[in-house]
Amino acid sequence: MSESLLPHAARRSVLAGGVGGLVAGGLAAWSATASAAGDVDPPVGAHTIVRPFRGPRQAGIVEAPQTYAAFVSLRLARDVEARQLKGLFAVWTDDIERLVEGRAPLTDMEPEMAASPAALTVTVGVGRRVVALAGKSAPEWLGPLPAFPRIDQLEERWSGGDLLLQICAASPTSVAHAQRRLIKAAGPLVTVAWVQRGFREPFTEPGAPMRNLMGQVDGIVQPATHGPDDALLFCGPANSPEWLHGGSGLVIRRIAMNLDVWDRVDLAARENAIGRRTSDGQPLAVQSGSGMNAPADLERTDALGFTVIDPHSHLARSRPVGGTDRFLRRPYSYDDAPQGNEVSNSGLIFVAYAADVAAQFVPVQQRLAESDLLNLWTTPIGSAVFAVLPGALAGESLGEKLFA
Amino acid sequence: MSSLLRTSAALAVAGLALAGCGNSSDKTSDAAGPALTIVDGWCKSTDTMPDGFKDMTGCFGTVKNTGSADITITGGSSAAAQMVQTHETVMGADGKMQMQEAKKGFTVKAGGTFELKPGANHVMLMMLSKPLQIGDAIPVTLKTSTGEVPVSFQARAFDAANETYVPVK
Repeated sequence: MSESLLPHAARRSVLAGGVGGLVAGGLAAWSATASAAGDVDPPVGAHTIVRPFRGPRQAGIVEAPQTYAAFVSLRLARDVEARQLKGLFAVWTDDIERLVEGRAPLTDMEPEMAASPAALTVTVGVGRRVVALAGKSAPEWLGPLPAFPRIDQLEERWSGGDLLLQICAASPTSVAHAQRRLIKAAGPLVTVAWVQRGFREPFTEPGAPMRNLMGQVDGIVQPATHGPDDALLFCGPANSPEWLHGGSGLVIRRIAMNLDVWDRVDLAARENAIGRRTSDGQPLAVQSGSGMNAPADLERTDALGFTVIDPHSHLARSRPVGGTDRFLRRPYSYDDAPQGNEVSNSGLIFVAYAADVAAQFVPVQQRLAESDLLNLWTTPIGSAVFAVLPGALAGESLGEKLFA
Repeated sequence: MSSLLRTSAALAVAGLALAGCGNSSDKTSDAAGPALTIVDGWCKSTDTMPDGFKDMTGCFGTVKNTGSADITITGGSSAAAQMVQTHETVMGADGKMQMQEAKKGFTVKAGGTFELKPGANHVMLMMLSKPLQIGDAIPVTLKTSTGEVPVSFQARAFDAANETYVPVK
């Protein structure tokens, strides 16, 4: 039961009881204030949560995704030099550290807005041009993905860029403020290539995958984010130049959903296309167990001899076939204003982290481009790839080794 | 405050090897120099300034005096500029805010702080010797009542507080 649905008196007692079983991270942070005030409704987001900034890896990758995000792609001005970029990264490092800690950047004209960090993370990535300006070698995969002509209808306004800021927080106000401060901090060195704003919520308890705007549970099969799959998530000596060790590869694809046509599809056909139940994400046939994490049974046949899970379903086509064609998905939904006669202008900001984009991501995307029933209702309209920098240790700037 | 900035300011003032020590607030006046530091020091980079205004810049931050006597900043020098002055912002006869030299300098009380802010009191670098780019560390030696104090300001893109400068006659 959602807390907001509790009767007023019951809600008050939950608060007085120190939030009881409601363990969602930041709730504890406001419980003291709320119970002291008596009957105050809980805030929308966990506004006081601070996520650590310093470390060997950047924040914003393995943690549970925050509710709101902005993906900001920037284009370098024509005549920018490496030393200017180095200066910009020093400034961004200081600004980001302050923002995530709820302190205003030095040049903040609205310092009050920084007081609510709301679990803010800012994750910085670079494109091939930045690496070239720094005089370092770039991994092969850093650049546009191979073309997927059967599905792609890429628009320049959602594609490419030289620098990427992934800004996530529990509050859209915190996202907006961080976005503006960091773009302003770059002055004339950059122009905005595109911004994609998204939102997401766990479909059940905290930490669960989200439901996308087609209604599907999205992002079920994931690498472990607590260590065992680190070689898939983070770059190291086996696959990357030294400046990228501890960093990652980031793929952002904007996937338009034709929801106006999807509305005409009945439940059976919808579930056949994804290969999972809409209600809880469970595969349509399982080898054992139950629920969204139960292993799919791709061999099971029905009375007519057809496999229960359609071999052209998204589940069947996207499942890993080797040990390494896996990556971390961290998607967000977008829901923009409809254009013309549309009823909706919605879709998915597909976000994937992989240590080696070419080896881990591209094979899966190729399979899906060849055949995936979901392609009937989805169209990739934007695509960009960035190298996410390693984290900054105490006293370091982001990109310390890139500009060394 | 980045530990980098704070540490560099502390290092610059003390002239001592303080690597790893990020806290400059507990320093006291000693033979190594005056107990004056600047926390969160920054200045406007020139690349966001309109053409014709790129020859001067303002420096900001919190000046801390951890000593037991008042210290007055009267001016300074910098490799980045031919002239360094203490400036105040006042309303002119026409009602517009304008900058002028603070002839009496800035007095930082013993154990106190003094704010240098856009649109208010600040240290002005004039006749800049080169453009100040985003992220550059700009060294300035402040002239004070107790001697010279080297400090550093990080250049930042900032397009507010473009008051007119009016030399005091």
